[in-house]
Amino acid sequence: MFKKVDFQKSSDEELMQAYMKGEAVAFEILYERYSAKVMGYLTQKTRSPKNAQDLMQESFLKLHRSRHLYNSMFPFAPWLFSITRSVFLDSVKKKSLEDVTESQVFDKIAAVPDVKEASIIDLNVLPMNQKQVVGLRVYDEETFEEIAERLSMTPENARQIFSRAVKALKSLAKEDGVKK
Amino acid sequence: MKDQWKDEFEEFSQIDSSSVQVPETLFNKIQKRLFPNPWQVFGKIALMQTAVGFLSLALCTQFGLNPFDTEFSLAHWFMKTAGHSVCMVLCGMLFVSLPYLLSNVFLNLEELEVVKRYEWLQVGVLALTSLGAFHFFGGEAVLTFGVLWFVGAFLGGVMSIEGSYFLRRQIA
Repeated sequence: MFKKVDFQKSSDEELMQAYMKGEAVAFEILYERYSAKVMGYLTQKTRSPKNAQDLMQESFLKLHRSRHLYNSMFPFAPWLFSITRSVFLDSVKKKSLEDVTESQVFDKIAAVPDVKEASIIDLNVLPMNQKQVVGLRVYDEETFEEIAERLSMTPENARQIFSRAVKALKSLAKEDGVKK
Repeated sequence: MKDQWKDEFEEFSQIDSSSVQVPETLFNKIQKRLFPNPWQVFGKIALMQTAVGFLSLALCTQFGLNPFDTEFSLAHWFMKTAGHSVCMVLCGMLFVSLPYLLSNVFLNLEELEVVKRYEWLQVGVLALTSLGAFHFFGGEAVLTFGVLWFVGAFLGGVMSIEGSYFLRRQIA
């Protein structure tokens, strides 16, 4: 059995080799050496510590699942960075797809003539925080990151508030349609 | 694209680790996910083995045990087509591999890795325990046939674990 002490002086590449053979201690030391860097990078990119934590978990899970692909002839740090970066880029892609879907829903609502006539787009029907976020997103075309910075909240929060507002507008549009 | 990667890697390398706070609970979460406790995984497998193994007796009676009183059993068909010895091997295979195949649906890849790491021990213990249970509930487990059944159970168990792990690895 290996002890943590035995591995402390090992290089990253040696640790990866041991980790590939199933040594959990080797993973522990790699985590100690790199978790702060991964966390720091993801926090810089996402500007949200909570999102950074989620992505960090995903990055280490991906590292674990791809460890059999690692070639110890190459340095470990760039490999870990590539994994972390790809996890971040995947999350950005996923979020932009969600944004597109939300915007499409909003456009559809706005395009219904009855809705316009019924002044559903009058944002006063919404609570203040939803009104602000929808206004900034739709009329000022700001990104969720910009909205978050302006309203002192996380981009994730801004996204959720926007999503709730779209739902509320949609159901109001439906109700109005039924009345007419 | 390459330059952007280089720039970002430079940024990554220059991050001052001492200025970043990583919550300790995060490591525990990651560790639990990546290295599940072998006993917990074995517990899950044992539960599935008990449930599915018992239900499988409706399809294939083992050592004369037929708790569901079904008229047709795969065991009869195995017996007719291949004789008593082969029937014992096939019954053992079915009894142990079926729960393993089904339980894999409920396990994640990391738990499957644990199962694979201890596959000989796990399958051996499960097969012997099952034989003991059959004997306890009045099954006619004679030594020769018991050995043949055990060989089948062992082969079925190992094959089902290897097959499931291979498939899940491809999907992941």
